Amino acid sequence: MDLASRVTPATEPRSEAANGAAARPHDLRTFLERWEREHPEEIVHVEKPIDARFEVTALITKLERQQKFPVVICHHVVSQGRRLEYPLVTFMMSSRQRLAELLEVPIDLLGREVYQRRNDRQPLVVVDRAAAPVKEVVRTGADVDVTAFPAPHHHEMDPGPYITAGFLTLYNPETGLDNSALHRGWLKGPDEIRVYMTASTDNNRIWLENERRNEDTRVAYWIGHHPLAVLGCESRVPVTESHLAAAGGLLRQPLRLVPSETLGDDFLVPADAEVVIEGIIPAHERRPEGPFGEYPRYSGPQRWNPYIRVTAVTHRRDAYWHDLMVGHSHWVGSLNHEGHVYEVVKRVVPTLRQVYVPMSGTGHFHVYLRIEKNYDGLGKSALVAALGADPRIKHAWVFDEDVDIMDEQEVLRAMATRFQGDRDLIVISQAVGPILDPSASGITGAKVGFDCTRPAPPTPFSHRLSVPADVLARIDPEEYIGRAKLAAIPHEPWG
Amino acid sequence: MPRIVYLACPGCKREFYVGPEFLTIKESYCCCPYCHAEFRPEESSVPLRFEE
Repeated sequence: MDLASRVTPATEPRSEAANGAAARPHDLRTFLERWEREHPEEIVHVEKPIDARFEVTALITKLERQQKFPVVICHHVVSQGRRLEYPLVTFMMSSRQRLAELLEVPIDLLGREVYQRRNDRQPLVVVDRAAAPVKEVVRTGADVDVTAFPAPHHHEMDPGPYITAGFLTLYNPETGLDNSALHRGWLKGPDEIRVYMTASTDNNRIWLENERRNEDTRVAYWIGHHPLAVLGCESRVPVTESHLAAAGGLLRQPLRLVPSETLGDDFLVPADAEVVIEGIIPAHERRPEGPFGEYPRYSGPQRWNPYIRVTAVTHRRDAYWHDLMVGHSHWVGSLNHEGHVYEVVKRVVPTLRQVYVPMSGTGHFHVYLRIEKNYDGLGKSALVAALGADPRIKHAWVFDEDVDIMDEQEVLRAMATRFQGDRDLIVISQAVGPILDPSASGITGAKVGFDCTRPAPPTPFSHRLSVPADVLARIDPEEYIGRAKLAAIPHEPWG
Repeated sequence: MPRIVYLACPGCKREFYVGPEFLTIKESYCCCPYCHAEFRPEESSVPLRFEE
């Protein structure tokens, strides 16, 4: 059946002319051009040759330790002594501030904005091959070589270079809808990619259903797009909806698609991506994949996984290879959790004020909630809802309105002073948890909630220390200590 | 069933780990992430160790 003809009305592809889409499409390049113009200090061009094997990761590690989160563009990536032709873009999704500016919201509202925009799905637009930048170079057959791209070999124990920012797109034969998700892929050889089809994903279900019918699965990785397209495509979308349309929602512009080269005209891929890799997952075939350094910042074990036999590679002439530095700061998972958890908890606790998924909890495992507690029990209700919102959420904390949940000193102080382990702790054993948690037992683990709220009014509770606001505002340390002396006092991170 | 199986490459002797499916799927084989040698878990150069 023609897959493209079976999409729901909300996501039905239209011709570009019919849609009146005359504006320049948002893509990785429009983002980079804007940021070079408006925030050149956040774009780092690395001209010095840098090895794809560990050196890129080492550079990012050093920046991360200094709490600096620029977009890093490496122009001379070397692999096995060979200088690669294409530039590498990495660390683009590492700055919460940058993403907030792109979405035009304060940083604390970022997750909610992502959730709301992904609900504003945009119709998809199909363009001719001639209008698709990703078709500037088309390679098939013996011309295919995915190892020509500057994919980093990220960490020790990884077996080689990996796709980390590649959206693997499959089409659901039942609904005709696309399903796109980030799946890691080991570039094993010129035409072979070994892929981790994460068990809980819709892509996994589609692939296994095809396999049950003894059918190969058509797939395409697409790499390099606008940061908001990345956020949108990785958002939680029901199987009855299109991830590509959700990406358009984030962009507030229809995503342009173009027919594939080798998977049929009904298999559509993003026209404005930097690179598209088309291929087939042969049914019932498996090969070793991994180990791989994953988002919890541990190496996950090698798996007996499927592989992609690459049938075509299309790309822009001077394609950027986008890498998501997995196991280092990036907000793709966190922001999607924040928006989703907010919606789930808000239904139970209408006085929910804020949700934050911190990087210290791997961007997935920990969630902080801030509520107005106007009656007792509300804290625990919020915790139960948050812990059930996603298998990857392992620990949840709930705080009162006066706690800044984006300041982890504040968070721990509130836990130290408002939490009693025998009264305020919830433990749910043997729940489905994050499969990549190295301390879990397979797919099950404990979920724990920490109620760090004060008793609800009118029950009294001790007052936090405070200084009158007007006094705090008017006291300037420079006036009392002197600028030079103040600057000379050593900085300590432990206070 | 263990969660992770620790083993070592019979070629380069370096250690790594694999999922438990390599113990139960007869046609499976490991691939050393360092030298890319392919081997069955029972060919490990050190006794298998298991993480539950």
